[in-house]
Amino acid sequence: MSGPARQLWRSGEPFIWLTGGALVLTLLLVLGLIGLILSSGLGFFWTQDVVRLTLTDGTVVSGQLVEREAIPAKAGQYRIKLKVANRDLYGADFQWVDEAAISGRSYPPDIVVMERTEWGLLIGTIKEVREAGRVVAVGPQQGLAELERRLPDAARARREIKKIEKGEVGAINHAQEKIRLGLRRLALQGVTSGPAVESLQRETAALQARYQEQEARLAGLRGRQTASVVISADGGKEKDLPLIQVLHVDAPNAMGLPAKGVRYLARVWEFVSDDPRESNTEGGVFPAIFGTVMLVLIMSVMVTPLGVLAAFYLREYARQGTFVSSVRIAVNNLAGVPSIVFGVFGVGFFIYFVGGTIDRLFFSEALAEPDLRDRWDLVGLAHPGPPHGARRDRRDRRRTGGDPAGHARGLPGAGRDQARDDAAGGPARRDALDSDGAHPRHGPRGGRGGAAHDHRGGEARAGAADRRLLAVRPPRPEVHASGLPHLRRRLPVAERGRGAPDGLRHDVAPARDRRAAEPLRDPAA
Amino acid sequence: MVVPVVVGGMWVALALGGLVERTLLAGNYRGWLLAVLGLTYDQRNSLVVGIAMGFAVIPIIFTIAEDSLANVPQHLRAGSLALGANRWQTAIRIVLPTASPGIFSAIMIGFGRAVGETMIVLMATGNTPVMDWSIFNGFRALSANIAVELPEAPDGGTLFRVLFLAAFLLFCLTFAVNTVAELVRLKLRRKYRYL
Repeated sequence: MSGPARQLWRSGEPFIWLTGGALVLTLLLVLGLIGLILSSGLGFFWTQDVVRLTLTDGTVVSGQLVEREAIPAKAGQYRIKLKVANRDLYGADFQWVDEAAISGRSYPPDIVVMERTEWGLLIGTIKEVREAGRVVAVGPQQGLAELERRLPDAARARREIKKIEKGEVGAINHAQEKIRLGLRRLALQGVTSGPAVESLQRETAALQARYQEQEARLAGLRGRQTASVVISADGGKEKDLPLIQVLHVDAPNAMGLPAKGVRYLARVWEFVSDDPRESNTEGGVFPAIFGTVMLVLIMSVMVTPLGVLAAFYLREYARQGTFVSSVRIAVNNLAGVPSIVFGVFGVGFFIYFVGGTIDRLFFSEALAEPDLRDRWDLVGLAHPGPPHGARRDRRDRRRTGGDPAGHARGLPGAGRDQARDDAAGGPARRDALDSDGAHPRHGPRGGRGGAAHDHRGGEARAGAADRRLLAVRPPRPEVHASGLPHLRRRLPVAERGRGAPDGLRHDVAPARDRRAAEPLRDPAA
Repeated sequence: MVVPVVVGGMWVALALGGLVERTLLAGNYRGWLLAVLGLTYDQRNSLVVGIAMGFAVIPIIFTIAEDSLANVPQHLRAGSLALGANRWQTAIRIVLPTASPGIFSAIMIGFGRAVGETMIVLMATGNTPVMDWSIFNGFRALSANIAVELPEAPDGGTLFRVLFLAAFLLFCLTFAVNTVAELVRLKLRRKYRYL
């Protein structure tokens, strides 16, 4: 090494560059991360223009531009992904279009984008607005004005319906559940008839009457909302949308920058203050924010004083020695223990052990019946296996297709949503009470692990039980998660072989299909 | 001075990336990996996790290491500079050894965090429970294993117990790492106390 180079090396200049470079790299990483999160997160709320593409073969596609990418097979050519929305009309939300196939682009000002309670966005032009079958406004301009005039009213009605469903009907459900638990407690004590049981049954009847009343109110409210809007979409398709389902209407191509800015803020606010809709694919995250705040509050109230007081004692009063220093090391160690370990501990100790014990001691009527595992015959499954240690077995059984027939209602969360949506459907089925009075059933909370993991079998029984309480769920065929075949329910053996080679149900109604982002190949190619 | 160099370097790397891929790797690095090195490529792989984990661990290591560097007494630096050492020599011979207990524990705490990290591993790896040394394939970590399986483990069942065992193993691992770190830290501190 020559003189100046050695001089440079010994002065440490290269190392200073090295350390500085490390710092800059770290900063860039963090900035890039924040930038990525902000750009991909906040960009979502911007109201995008709707482009109407005319393809070389004459078809018209309109939608919001989502992304543009190079076509791998053809060098130098690009294709774009459009959000065409109108899931119920086209079957898919997105469509790929090769740029080579586009002959014209336009941004017509009369295209509207509608947010609605079901099926995602609706993109098209307003044809007319109707009130009880009578046309009250025709054409895009008039229609939009009429729509904006009527929307607040529809929103009010929607809120009122929701209030009744959540408040009054919810209260009735709650009371019903209490009566059921009361009956169960009596049954556990060996009382199955007599004045106590009869009075509870009378209360049930009274609740049923109250429910009918609310039902009638809901029906009345719904009946008054007869206005609807007819939207014409691409390909000559039309949609007659009841106004009560419309959340918001925008004509993005006609909106200026200030209007879009206002709309942007409104959408951000909606995101942080609203409940989620459509199985968490739309709406806001308010419940999640609430949950986080709740978690932190409870944690600080219960634990912070403990930590501070312990530290205070250890530092100020305890005699410093091996014991205290070993405590200190142990606490340091605990700080390094992964959160998932605490999670496992929380589930095992607090939920299954403490919670389970409390349930058994004080709320035994809410538990799942202890001999449930022996009673598969009652839910349509003869259970040949040993009566004990059968839980694991039950899981396997469920996976291998021994599902209790087709009336299992699919995934529990979705089922619950559905129940709320349909809260006003279906007649009350009091007859169910008598026919499956002897059914083993899960409590709604499922008690210990039993129902918690046993989604489908439990749902089947819970379904029967709910009908016994209140017919809030009209039986209707549903296919959940149609894009995820492994989540679909399996058919009983008897139903296989009828065009369902893998035992999966494939009769997916196309309109109910919620596949998003299914790339449709360019029709011109 | 450093900032433009690093930013420029990154830009050059990005710009050359496509060119390198076209000329050296035949335009398709996945195909090249498979053909030349015989490696398969998963979209969610160890490399991604490693880098993403870096985001989580760097701040921890940074704060603790900086704390310990700041706690080196000023008179040590002053003495070294007064004796004719330049700044780099002072930093490497005086400051670094004195701060070494803190830096060591910073690194060990970072390790502990990485061992127990759940969500990054859960999201960025394929969660494939397969042994594979290739950094372009997915894997499954102990913590992610627990997170994936626990919600569907029935109370008291075999799976539940095995997961408890896994959690215990994880606990032992972090406990061991942390205890060793603490012991080494105390030893280093004793050694450099007189500096």
